[in-house]
Amino acid sequence: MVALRKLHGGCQSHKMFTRRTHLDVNCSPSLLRGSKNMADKKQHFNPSRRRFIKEGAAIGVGSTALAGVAAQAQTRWDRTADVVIVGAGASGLPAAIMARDKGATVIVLDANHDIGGHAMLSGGRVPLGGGTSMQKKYGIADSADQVYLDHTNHKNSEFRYCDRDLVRMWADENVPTFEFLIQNGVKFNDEKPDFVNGGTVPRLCVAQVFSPNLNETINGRPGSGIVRPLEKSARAKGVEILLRHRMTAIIRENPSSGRVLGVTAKFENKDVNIRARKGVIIATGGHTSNVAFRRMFDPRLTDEYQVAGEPWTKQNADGEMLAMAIGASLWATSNQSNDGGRAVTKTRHIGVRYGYENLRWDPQSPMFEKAGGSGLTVRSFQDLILVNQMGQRFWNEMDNSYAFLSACLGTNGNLGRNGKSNGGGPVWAIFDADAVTREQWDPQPPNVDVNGWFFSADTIAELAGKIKNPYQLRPISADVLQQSVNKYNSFVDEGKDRDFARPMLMYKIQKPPFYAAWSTPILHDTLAGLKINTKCQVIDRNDQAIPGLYACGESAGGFALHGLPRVLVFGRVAGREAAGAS
Amino acid sequence: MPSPLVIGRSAKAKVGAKCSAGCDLTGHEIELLDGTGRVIARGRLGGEVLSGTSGLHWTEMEFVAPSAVGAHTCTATLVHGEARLEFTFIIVPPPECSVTIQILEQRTNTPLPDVDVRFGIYRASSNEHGRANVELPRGNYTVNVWKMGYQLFSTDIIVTGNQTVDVALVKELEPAQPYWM
Repeated sequence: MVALRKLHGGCQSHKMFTRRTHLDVNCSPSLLRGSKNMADKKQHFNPSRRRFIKEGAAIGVGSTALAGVAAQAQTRWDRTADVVIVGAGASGLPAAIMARDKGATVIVLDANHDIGGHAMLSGGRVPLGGGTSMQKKYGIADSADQVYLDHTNHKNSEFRYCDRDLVRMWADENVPTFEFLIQNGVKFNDEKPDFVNGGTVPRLCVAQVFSPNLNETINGRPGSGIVRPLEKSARAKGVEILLRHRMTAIIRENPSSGRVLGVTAKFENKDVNIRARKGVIIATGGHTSNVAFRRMFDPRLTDEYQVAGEPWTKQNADGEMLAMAIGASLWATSNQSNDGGRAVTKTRHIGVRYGYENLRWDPQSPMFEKAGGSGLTVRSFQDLILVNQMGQRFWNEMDNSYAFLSACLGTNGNLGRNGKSNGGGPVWAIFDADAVTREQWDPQPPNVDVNGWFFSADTIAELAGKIKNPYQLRPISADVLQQSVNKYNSFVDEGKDRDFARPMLMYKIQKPPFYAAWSTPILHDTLAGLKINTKCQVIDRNDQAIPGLYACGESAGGFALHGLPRVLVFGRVAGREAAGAS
Repeated sequence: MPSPLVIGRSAKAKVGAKCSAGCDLTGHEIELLDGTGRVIARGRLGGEVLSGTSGLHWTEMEFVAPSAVGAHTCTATLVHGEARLEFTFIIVPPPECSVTIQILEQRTNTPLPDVDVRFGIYRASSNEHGRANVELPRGNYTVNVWKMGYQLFSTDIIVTGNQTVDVALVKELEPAQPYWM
């Protein structure tokens, strides 16, 4: 079937793109339950807080200006604990438990309405080795030395640029961290550990989903089996968790010298000053959602790129920016753009904004309204072509390498005359009714988000006119899109992709209706962050430890290992070291 | 629109059109033009809207495949209006051989239906017995056999006469969570 569109000058109208109005997700009452509070209660309230912030050094990126401030004689503390941890995710929670185990009083803040960070949505995969109890149970021999060697292999671009002192410490702490997780309620599938990350020894264990209750797990992912048990253990041990508290300042004795004394957080538009007798731990989850910050590492990553884990949480660089405001340094920054890790990923659930390949939003999730749709899961990219913001094919759609991602992030026909030259622009999957049949898709809500991320039409020309999205800077030309489809179809006839050498061409795009689905790459890992030493102390620009300031998780730099194994270990170590500080 | 088409033989194409202003195009004339602009077929759009579309009227048009082997571009035009669309197909010489491909699932040894088979530009799909038939001239061909969820089977074959090719497809194992840990 070939489909034409009859042209009527001036009689065509387009429905204007309207942004979906999202509702806030209400917090489950069970998530706000009280806890045994071992942290000290409110001491003072400071009515002149606004003036106080203004007097400090400030750095602002994004919607909220964030300040690093110097303590002054009139500082009034609303709360006090030995250790104050910012971020209740896969790094902050182990830090909290470990600090509490060492006898410290602990307050944990989180900007979100619930704990977990983006680890809540993770696959719960924990490849820790060196001789864990699970490895021993299945007769797997391993050692810390082998863990170290596997994660410092110079042939691996994800490990090549890392701080090997940090990797060594991490390797040595693998076993105690794995056992710590089990002791604090994490349940792993009782299966033989598997190989992962190019390791020479099986190490991968996967956590069990915490419960069938989506209000607890948010999207039913195994990551809930990490953070919920840790939350439970932390609360039982007396850790106080303050939700909806977004850190807005780190308070130091002097703007760039002296000890870190505490933090300021914003709660219900009020400032709360929280004193930390021993240390503040930054565990805020990284920077990937902060466009200005991420572009320091890769200028191509402009506004159009969504982040895995959004809209549940944002990796907004709060910790990094506030620590930098009091003198902290970044570390191993090349890790963020090493073209080997998962800083940028190919989408797999198309037709929605948040289509990260291993995260399909459940329509029953309490976050679904914000997620907007589940996405059409692509089983084979043979069933579609990908076109850029101009409506042109730009690469072999079957490619899963960084060469594909670099093509997505390329100029893509944008000559840069509009001041928006850096991003690669939207990528749209174009397919037809036959593809829908082959893939067994149901191309309608809740599977797709028709508010700017998915379009359908009876002809290719009509489809081009319908594509309207905040990041589509100009309309796609009907002629250009039609030519792209025609050319691709002729390549299918010939069995040869003369433009991009796609290895196998199976299907024409020819049966109406036709579809366009958002398929723009998705950002994921924060792989560079604050400079830390092996005690997780934050290091300043003069290479000196900042007294009383620690960092862990994706906000800490130096080790580009993806996911939970890095952040769990560094969190536990940061908690231990902060609690032990004098 | 099928491809390839055999030189000089009758072929069929389905052509549809939609008016962006919502006009009813029932009965409007469609023409097919070859690469030189010669009209090779005429038809009228039917009154029925194509299933799954909001207003695409269509018709099936029969024409004689062009008499030159190779890639061809034809144009469909809607006489009343300015709509036109190019489409392509390949013209091939008359077949000389019949090749049957018998496809089994390797582990269970059972026939696999709906498998796509490509002998270069020649194409077929397997039936419920896992058999696909391709008629083609003698020659050297790169053969691709693929079904979603299975690994691509690819080989080179010299076709000299009628023959049968046995293929066993291996299921593709997809890790449940390859990346996000």
